[in-house]
Parts: sequence; structure tokens; C-alpha cells
Amino acid sequence: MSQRVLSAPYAQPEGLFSGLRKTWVMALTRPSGVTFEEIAHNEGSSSRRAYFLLFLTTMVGTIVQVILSTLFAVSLPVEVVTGDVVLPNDLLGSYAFVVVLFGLLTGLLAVFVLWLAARIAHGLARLVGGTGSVVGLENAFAAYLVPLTAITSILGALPAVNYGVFPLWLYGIVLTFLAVAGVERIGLVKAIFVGSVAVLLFVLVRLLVSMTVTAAFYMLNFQFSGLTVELMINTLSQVIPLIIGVTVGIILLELGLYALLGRVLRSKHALPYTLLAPAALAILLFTVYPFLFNILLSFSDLRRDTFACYSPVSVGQCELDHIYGLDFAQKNFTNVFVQQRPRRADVEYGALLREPYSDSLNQRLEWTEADGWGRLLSTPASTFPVLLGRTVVWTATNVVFHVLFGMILALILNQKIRFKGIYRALIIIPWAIPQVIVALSWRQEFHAQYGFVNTILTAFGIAGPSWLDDPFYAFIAVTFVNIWLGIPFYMVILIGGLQSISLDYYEAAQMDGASRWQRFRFITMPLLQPILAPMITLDVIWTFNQFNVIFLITGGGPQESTNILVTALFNAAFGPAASLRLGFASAFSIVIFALLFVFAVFWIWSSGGLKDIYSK
Amino acid sequence: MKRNKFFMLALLVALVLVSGMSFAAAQDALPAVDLVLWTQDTDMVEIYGTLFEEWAADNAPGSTLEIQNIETEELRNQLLTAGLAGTGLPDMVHGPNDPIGVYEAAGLLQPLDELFDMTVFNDTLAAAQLGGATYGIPSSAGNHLMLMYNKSLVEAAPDTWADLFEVEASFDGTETTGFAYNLNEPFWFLPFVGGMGGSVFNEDGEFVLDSEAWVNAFQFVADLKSNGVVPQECDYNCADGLFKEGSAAIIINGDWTLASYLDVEQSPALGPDNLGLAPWPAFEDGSRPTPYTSGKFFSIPVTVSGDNLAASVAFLTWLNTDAETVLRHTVDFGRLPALTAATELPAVQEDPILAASASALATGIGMPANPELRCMWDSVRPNLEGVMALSLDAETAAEESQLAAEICLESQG
Repeated sequence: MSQRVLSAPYAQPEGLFSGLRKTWVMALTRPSGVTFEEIAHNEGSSSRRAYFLLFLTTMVGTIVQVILSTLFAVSLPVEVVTGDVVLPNDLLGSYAFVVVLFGLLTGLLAVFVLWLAARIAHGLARLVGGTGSVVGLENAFAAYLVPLTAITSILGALPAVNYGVFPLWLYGIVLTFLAVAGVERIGLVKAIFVGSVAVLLFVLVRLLVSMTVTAAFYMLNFQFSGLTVELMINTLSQVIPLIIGVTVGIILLELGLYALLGRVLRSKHALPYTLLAPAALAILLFTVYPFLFNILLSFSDLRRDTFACYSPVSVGQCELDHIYGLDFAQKNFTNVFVQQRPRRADVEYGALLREPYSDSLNQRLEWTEADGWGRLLSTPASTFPVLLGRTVVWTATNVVFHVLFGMILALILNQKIRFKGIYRALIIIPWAIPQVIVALSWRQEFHAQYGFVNTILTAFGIAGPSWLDDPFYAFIAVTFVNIWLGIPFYMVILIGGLQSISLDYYEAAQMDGASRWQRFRFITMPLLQPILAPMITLDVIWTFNQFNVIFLITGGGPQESTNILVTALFNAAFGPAASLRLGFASAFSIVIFALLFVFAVFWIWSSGGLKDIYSK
Repeated sequence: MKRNKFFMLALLVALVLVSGMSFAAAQDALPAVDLVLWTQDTDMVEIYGTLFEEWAADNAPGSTLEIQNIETEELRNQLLTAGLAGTGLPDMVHGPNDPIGVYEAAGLLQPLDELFDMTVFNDTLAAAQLGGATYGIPSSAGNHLMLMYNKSLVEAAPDTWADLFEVEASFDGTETTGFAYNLNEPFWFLPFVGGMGGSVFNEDGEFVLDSEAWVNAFQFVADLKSNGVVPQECDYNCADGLFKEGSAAIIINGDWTLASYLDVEQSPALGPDNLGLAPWPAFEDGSRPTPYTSGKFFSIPVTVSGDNLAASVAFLTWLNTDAETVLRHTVDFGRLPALTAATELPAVQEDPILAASASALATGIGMPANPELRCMWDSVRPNLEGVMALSLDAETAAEESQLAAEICLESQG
């Protein structure tokens, strides 16, 4: 293989710290295999420097993190940090000792992991045709690990912004794959396989560092109720062997499978099958089996009064003569759409209750029985057509705004502007933060009196509504949050798509006098379609099934008015309104699946979005 | 020599006695077991753990208790799911009485009448009895809602709603909220219905949610909202948080919060000096809202047997019938004991907080444990939300609640 000619600006002079800033900036802001290949073959690169800097950064980072955590924690209100606060000044000597000790430990740990990860990754890479070197991997890994460790150590200890470490470490994972691909000169798919081992080790060490920081922090500052050092050690002694055991087990199984397919069965596709095996197994266990079980449940009559028939331990009486059958399936599927229930002849509503309302109540009951839509929950807002209509509006609104704003941001950030890497990182944060945290934060912000949404409206002289009490505004609120959450995903994918379009097309069009809009309409849009079609399909499916945002912000309320099909399904099966009608709930979920399946097939077929992928 | 002989004899007797006692102790000790307890009561996790360690050291050395703190609805779902799977059920379940009806209907609980002496408990026990059998023994009485006020902001508890409106109005234009409670939660709404003469079931056990009393109760809470007596929006955390930090003068909350309100570290604006308790204010005709009362109960699933059952029964007997032990997990947390012997102790009788809580408890009515109650909660919630958003009138809300409860009941049958 010919040696790639390296660009001159990245050849660095000798010296421990010389040219570091440029290397770090390069590693973080120019994520590509070529970048890491250049870093690895840099004249100034050395293992000594990589290890020393990683040790130093991790040690100092840990110390800074513990100190910052302490500073911010003692200034928090007492109720937030439960426990007796012991100011660090009281034990200054031991404080300094413990902090430095933990710093040293984590520094050594990081060095060991870098040493191990580089060797394992290089060994695996050679198996799949890699031609790099261990030293190259060490330097490439250290080039982004050092600055990322420094940034995340400080960021992680600061209140409010500490969630920023998640996207940064996700970015770090991507960089690991690119580093392996660049240094070993292998394809990205192989690099992901090889780099996964390194990533696993890095994640493990980050977890250990985080736990160490937490342990040091609590040991120094709190007599934390319930959370004792002994408890933490006990927990760690259970968790760490499990993680290591699972990791080693998977690696051994993979190697065994590879050996079986390659050496014994002499399959030409040993590697692809080996790489696919974990995913295939996971799909079988966590998707196919539950799906089949769900179908079986829809043929059952499982509800509160028949619980004993389906529970192997219940001591209740079972009055069913069979527990699975077509008759039950027919009833369950019918109940999704209409309520078939016999009139209770023994209840005389008019006689029992207030006269003025009894007539209309009886009329409603007749109407419900005869030909009306059944209520999946408690109110008329929970019949199938209402829920389906709301789900369609919810999905369409979200997808349209996702595409619109995602495209606008992608077009803006695809321009040659300064600091666009930072803008991209900032914009992607909402997507990288766990949805639970996002949803719960927004729930507070939509509070009528104390949320910042109404605070801002009030500042402009507008009386804000009761966002979460009013059905209309509650729907607006959850839709807004989901739009906000989804835009970064579109932006990132579309930027990738835009960058894959050759500039030659635009130059040619410009020479022919095409306007900006015409270039967008006739070059950008058609060339983005292979990306947009599957992306919109996925987004429709995700949004149609978006459970977290609605459930965590409104729970489907008020008045069951923000429920879409999936949240209504959950509430019918497990929510506060649940009545253990699992046979019915299973049938309901199959109806939702059927809707999405039909849509996905139709959309993919009509848009031809996957044609290019499957025709290859 | 004689003295030596006497000494030797005494030593021998002592040895025999000590070994005999050890033997007897070894005979009495239960085998070591690993027990699991599910509780929805966060306050009890630590104290139950401590008490179990003390009990196990004397009675079942080497035994462990894993306590899992699970939210009420989630606990119900998990127990039923484990019941369907047939594995994973805990040895003991702890919580309020209303899920007991659901568990019993599912055939997942053991009747406890043969395992415990039920005569030592007060009336609280009735809340866990279904079809002539007892499915839970009470760890505490109450679990009731009452009026709580901050004595540094309000001189005396308002005795009537008119008084409360007056007190609330005095905070207009200030940063302090006069009155707050969990507006959209039916558990906070049911007392209004009871106070206006309504009920959930009639004598035949049928829903009667479409009655005059229900309409009046819906109208009353709607008026609280439209007249600005309560905040524009307020859930449990809102009322609880405002009260703890001294930003709400009066709230309605349950006895489970008393431990945190009495603790000045958790509630800087309250503590024993500033926390005041009282029954709900009276309506114009003198009647008062009637909060549901139940208490907290321990139940034992049907899967528990052998050594685990013996240890669970022995531990629960000690925990809930030894008066001194009962005080440690009730009085210390502002809870009322359900053990008759404990209620007569000075520590209970002379405690001002418990006395006030007990007088509020006296205005309540027992919460039924039958599983049909579930349908009432579920049908009332969305309609109450509509009433509090002022988008649903009281009459329609009552009518819709009745209809939804009926539909819910039918779907189970």
C-alpha cells in the first residue's frame, strides 16, 4: 500500500507540548479518517507524550471536578443535597490527600486503558486487514481524549450545563471509530467493529472515573443517608463483574462464532455473519419474541375478572372454558373500534339518580351500545377515530416542522461560516439529552405561574394561558417540545446529505444562470431525496410512536386530550386508568402496528426512497 | 477446699444454664432467609430496614431484607405482572388499602386471619377486609387529607370556608399564595363530595356519581378556581413545594407529609413551631368535607410459603404489634398508630401534632377496598380536569363521570 503524502502544516516540531493546540483543534473540529491518519503519522507524535498528557489531564480533571462539585454543592439549598453538609475546611488535610489520591488513581487508570485499547484495537484491526500501528492509534486516541477529558471534567461539575458532557462523549465515540479507520486504513464498518472494543473500554473508564469522583465527593462532603461507601463498594462489586463478564462473554462468543464459520464451516461470509449475530440475537429476543407473544395475548380474554385463568399462581376462580381463542380475538379487535356491551337491565338510572340527567344518560348508553365508537379510556376524547385523527395531526405537524427547520439549519450550517462546529454541537444537544430529562424540564417551564414560557409572555404584556390545564394549549405545548427535540436529527443528517452533493452541479447551474431557489429546487432537493425519503419514513414512525414526550409532560391529559394512539394504549394497559385489559390492549397495539406497516410500505413504495439501497 | 467445691458446682450450674439458654435460643431462632418487601412509602424505607436488622439479629440471624420503594400505581402494575408471570412476587407488600381489592380480586393475596392476631388493631383493620377475610395488617392509621397551615403566616386555622376565603384574600397582592392543593387529583376532590352528602356507591354497591352532591361538589371547586381562591395551576409538587418554602399559607395534604414538614432541614419555613393542623373547613350548613381514611397495610402474596412465610409473619407481628416498635415507625413520622395498645400511650396521647391529626381523621370516612373503586378514580379524573380548566360544567362532569365509571365496570365483567 502506498504511503499517503501528509500535508505539511500538520508536521509538528519536537517537544512535549509543542503544536498541541493545533492537534487537538484538528482532532475535534475536523472529524475524518484522514485527520487521524495525519495525526498518527505526525513527526512530533510520540507514545510518551500521549500517555503523559492523558495521565495529567485525567488526574487534574478529576481533582478539578471534585473541587468544583464541592463548591457548587455547598452553595445549593439544604433540601437539594440531602444530608449533613460537612465543610471541606474541617478536614483540609485529609481532603487534599483524598483528592490527590483519587486523581492519581484515575490518571493511572486512563493510561492503562489507553495502552490496552490501542493494543486490542490494533490486534483486531490486523485481523480485518488493518495496516496501522499501535503508536499511531495511541496518538490518535490521545489527540481527542485529552481535550475531551479536560472539557468534560469542568463541564460535568457545573450545574445546569453538565448534561453537555453526554453529546461530547457521544462525539468522542464517533471520533474513536474515525481514528481506527484513519490509522488502520480500513473501512468505517470494520472500524466500528474494531473501535467498539476501544469504546467499551473508554466508556468503562469514564464510568469508573465518574463513580470515583462521586465517591470522593460524598466521602469528603456528606454523610449521605443510605448511600454509604460500603453500599457503593457492594454495588460496584456486583455491577463491575457483571459488565466485565458480559463483555468478555460476548467477545468470546463472537470469536467462537467467527472460528466456527470461518475455520470449520469455511463460510465466505464469516465476518459479516459474526458481526450481524449480536444484533440478530437481540432482535429475536427483544422484538420478534415480544411481538409474537403480543399476538398470542390478543387471542386471550385477559382482564381483571379472568386474571386467575392466566396466572399460574393466582388462587382465584377461573370461569373460562378456554383461555385462547378466535372468539376472544374477535371481541378484542372489535372493542378497539366499538363497544359491544349488553345493557345493564338492573340499573335504573332515572330512578336512582337525579331526574334531569337520567334521560340523556340513558340515551348515551343506548347510543354507545348501538353503533357508536367505543371509548378506549374514559372520555369521548378517547374513541378510535378521535385518537387516530389526533395522532395524524400530531405526526404531520411534527414531521413538517422537523423537515422545514432541519433543512433551514442544515443549509445555514453548510455555508462557510466561523465556528460552525460549535453551532452544530450546540444545536444537537437537545437530541443528545435523554428525553426524560427534556420532557420533565419542559413540563416545569410550561407551568402557568412559575414556568419561563409564561414569564417571558408576561414580560411582553401577554397573559399566558394555563398550558397544561387547557386541552388546546396542552397539545400545542407537547407538539412544540417534540418539534424542538427532532430538529437536530434532521439537521445532522441533512448536513451529511448536503456535503455529499458535488459542488460541480451548483457551479454548472450558476453558470447557466440558475437562481438560488432554482438550484435548491432542481439540484439540492432531488439529490437529497434518497436521504429524505427513508428519514421521513422513520420520523413518521418515531413520531407516531412518540410516547415519552406526551406521557411525561401531560400524561395524556388534561381530559385525555393530548393522548395519541400509543399513549392511550399505555394508559389503557398500564396507566392510572389501567384495568388490566391486556387482551384488548394487545389487539389495540396490533391495530396501531398495522396502520404504521401499511403507511411505511406505501410510502417507501411510492417515494422509491429505498430503491437505491436495495438495488445495490 | 469446700469453698472450691462450691465454686466448681456453681460454675457447672451456670454452664448448664447458659448452654441450656443458648440451646433454647437456637431452638427459637428462625432459619436465615432473604426477604423482599415492596413499599410505596418512601419515608419507611430506612426505618423498616433498621428495624428488620434489629429483629433479625435476635430472631433470624443472617437474614436479609431487600426493600424496594415503588410508586403506588407502578407497584400495582408490577405486582400484577409478576402474578401473571408466576415469579418475582415479593414476600411482603406495603401500601394503602385500595390496591388490596385489586390484588384480592386477582387472587394474589393470602388471607391473614389465621396468621395474625387481628384483635389488637383498632378500626383501621376494616379497610383491608373483603368478603369476610383480612388481606392486610395495618402499620399505621390515617393516610387522610387535612388542612395544614403555616402559623407564622396565619394566626389560626380557618374553621369555615368563608373564613378561609377571608384569609386567602388577605394575601392578595403579595408573593404568598393564600391557599393551594392538588387541584386535579380526585383523591383531593372526593372529600367535597362527602361533605355535600354524596357518596361513590349506593347501598347496592352501584355507582352514584351523577347525584346532586357530585354536581354541587364540582361546582364548588370550579368556583374556587374562577374566584381565584386557588392558583391558576397547582399539582401535588406545587402545593407541597410552596408550603415547604413558606410561600403558601394554607394547603390540603396528607399525613404522610408530616415527617418532612416537621423537619426544618427539609421544610425551612415550617418545623414543629410553625406547622399547624386542622380538620377541613366547614360549609355554610356546618357540614365538613369527608376525607377518605385508610392507613397503610402489609399484605403477603400467595407465593410466600415455608421459612419465608414464617419469617415474614414473625417480623410483621413484631413490627406492628410491639407497642414500642410501632411508635418508632409511626409517631416519629407524624403517623397515627393502628395498634390499640400504642394509641393509648402518652407518646401518642400527648403529642399535639398527632392529636390534631386524629381530630382531622375523625371527620373522615373509610375508603372502600373493593376493586370497583378503581373505575371511579379513572372516570372522575378527566372530568375534574375539565371542571378545573373551567371548560366543563359541573352537571356534565357528574354525568360523564357516571357514564365512564359504568363503561369501565362493564369492560371488566
